[in-house]
Amino acid sequence: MNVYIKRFLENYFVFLGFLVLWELLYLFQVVHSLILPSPHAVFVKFLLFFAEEEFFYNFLATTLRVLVSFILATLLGVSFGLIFGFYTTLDRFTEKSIDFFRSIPGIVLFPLFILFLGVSDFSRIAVAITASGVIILINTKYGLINSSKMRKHFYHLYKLKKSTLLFKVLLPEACPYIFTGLRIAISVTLIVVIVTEMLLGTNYGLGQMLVNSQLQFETDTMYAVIILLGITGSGITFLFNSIEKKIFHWREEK
Amino acid sequence: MKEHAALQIDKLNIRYGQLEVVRSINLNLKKEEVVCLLGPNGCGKSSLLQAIIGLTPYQGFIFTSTAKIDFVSQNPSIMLLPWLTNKQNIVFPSSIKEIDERLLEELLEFTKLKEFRNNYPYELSGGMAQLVLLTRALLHHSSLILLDEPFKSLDFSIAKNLYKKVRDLFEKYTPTVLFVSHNIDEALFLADRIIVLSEKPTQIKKEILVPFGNERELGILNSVHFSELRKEVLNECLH
Ligand SMILES: Nc1ncnc2c1ncn2[C@@H]1O[C@H](COP(=O)(O)OP(=O)(O)O)[C@@H](O)[C@H]1O
Ligand SMILES: [Mg+2]
Repeated sequence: MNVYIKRFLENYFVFLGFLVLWELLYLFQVVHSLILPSPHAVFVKFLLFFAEEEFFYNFLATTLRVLVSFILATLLGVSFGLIFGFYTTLDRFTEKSIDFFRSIPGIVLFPLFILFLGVSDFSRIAVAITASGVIILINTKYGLINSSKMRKHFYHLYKLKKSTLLFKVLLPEACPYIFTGLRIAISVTLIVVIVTEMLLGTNYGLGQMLVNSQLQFETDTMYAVIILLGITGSGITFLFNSIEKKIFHWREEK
Repeated sequence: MKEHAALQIDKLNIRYGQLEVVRSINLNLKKEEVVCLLGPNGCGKSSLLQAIIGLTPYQGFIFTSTAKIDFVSQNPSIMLLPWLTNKQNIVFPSSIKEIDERLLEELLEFTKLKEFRNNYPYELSGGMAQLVLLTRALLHHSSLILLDEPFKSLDFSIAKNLYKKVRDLFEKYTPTVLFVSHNIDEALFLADRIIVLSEKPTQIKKEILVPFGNERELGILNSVHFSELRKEVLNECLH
């Protein structure tokens, strides 16, 4: 029991300190309460979210955009990653262009996609897919290339069929890399979707909620959304880490 | 080509760019013979084994009478798939349906790997990981087995028991074996013949027949005959 309390304090010490500081700032009116509402007001607002229909639609819109983008990015990224990682000639032709695209911050493509696809969810999802798909593609590709180098002896000796080699040897070995790619990609997807929602052209979404609450000085809502995003983000990371520990246990000793 | 040759190597040359590693080596292994390559570090023993399985480019002639070759690497983790259990690794690349399950059980029993069958390779010591690879080779009836320093990561007391086990396995399943070693005792106990190699560019310095017959007990390690042979091999190595 003691150990758990200790662990909890270790993990959340800074966080609790931060809350105390916030409360003090509020109590002594260091910052105007409209700019910095009290933590408990924000907390109440946060709880009230779950009773609001409006919030439900915002949350649903963002979640759907993130999920659709992430799933499509995963399908595309993993498929092309496998192709480029397995057929290294193809990789040589594409490597520099992919590096170029990777270097562009995904979000700046939003205006471009708007030109082609209009101000719609298509543009939003397209940006999110591009930004996160490239990350997944690159991780998959390098995972495959690395495992292929490492297992050269192996497949040379056993003269495996190409499909056996790819799906039974190289792909499982590359999975931890792919998974790391997915973990980064989901955060990127979330960021890109929120930012596109903040920019223009939608009535729903947490990004839109954030901008609106700021414009209307409903700052408690604004802070509550930020905190919600923080919780969602760390929840996703926690989920990925747990899955990673469980299914890639064999990786630890390396 | 000699009859009963399981492996025939003629005028083998291996070089990496400017570096001449192996110079004109001739070597024949009879079927079911166990031969040890003994030589200094970096003299090209691993390169020679890799040439046999086609992983290193070479000049000269290498003939193997069988396609069923297996290789126990110096670095077993390359040959083991870490996400499979030890048993699944032994069975790979076959599926469990394709293999002789009774032989598998027998081998697991014999190698004492049985209790580790559902563990993963990372839970094994380096020597046991190599034993898993050797078991894989035997299960798949590989008729030529190449072993690269199979017991180098074991301390002597463990290695000794393993020598006995491995020699018995060779007796029982009769593969042709070419193995690399730095350890004279290991070479004498396991091999029917020892090939002493020189420094780079590597040539054969001496061949020594080991006169201990097929069935070997650990006791011979303490015999006078054994220490005389050990001296002889040591002299050849230092010469
Ligand atoms: N792929 C390679 N490229 C260049 N040099 C190599 C390569 N592999 C081995 N060598 C060199 O060839 C020599 C023999 O190596 P190796 O066959 O591993 O020796 P051994 O197994 O006898 O210790 C060493 O000097 C090593 O540095
Ligand atoms: Mg070596």
